[in-house]
Amino acid sequence: MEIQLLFKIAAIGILVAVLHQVLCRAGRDDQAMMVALSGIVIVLAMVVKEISNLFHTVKTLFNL
Amino acid sequence: MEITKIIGIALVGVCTSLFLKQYQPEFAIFISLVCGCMILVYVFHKLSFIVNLLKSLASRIDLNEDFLVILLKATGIAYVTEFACNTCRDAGETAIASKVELAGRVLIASMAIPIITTLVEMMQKLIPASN
Repeated sequence: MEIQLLFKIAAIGILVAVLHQVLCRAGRDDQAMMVALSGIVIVLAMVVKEISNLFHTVKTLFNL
Repeated sequence: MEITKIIGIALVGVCTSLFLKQYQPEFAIFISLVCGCMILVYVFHKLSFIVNLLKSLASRIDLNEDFLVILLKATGIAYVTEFACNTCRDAGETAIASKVELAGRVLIASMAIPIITTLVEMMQKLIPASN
């Protein structure tokens, strides 16, 4: 139960959104796409850890 | 008051995901995923007491241990499938969601085969004419 993780993901999302907007306005659409992609990969790495935690809990609880 | 914690996490998740949906819809899915994971992990820690109670009750009466294990496994598969299915549906992928649901059903049914065979054997014993 770490609410910090939720805020971290939200902060990364806002940062990526702002960078995406700035780079789009500057006419660098390819770099904007790359920024969005890297943000998604970073957050996905965090989310996967949490999901594996959930699956581990389910496995031990229901002895799957 | 543990329910207030869960409600707080859920409301914070809903607010942030609603805000991020306008700018980066992918991150809204991540937020709802993590929020659901947190709440489920918390609930499963509490659920372990109930499971232990069930196991101790089953050990008191003369119940086949395998059946309780199969029942628990089916419950776990149902929970995880529901979670994945709802996440897919939130993302707008109803096709994948229904496939995951189908997979969960098939896995639970295939796991229940020993119970079904036991039931059929018992029925055969009860009806002597069928032999």
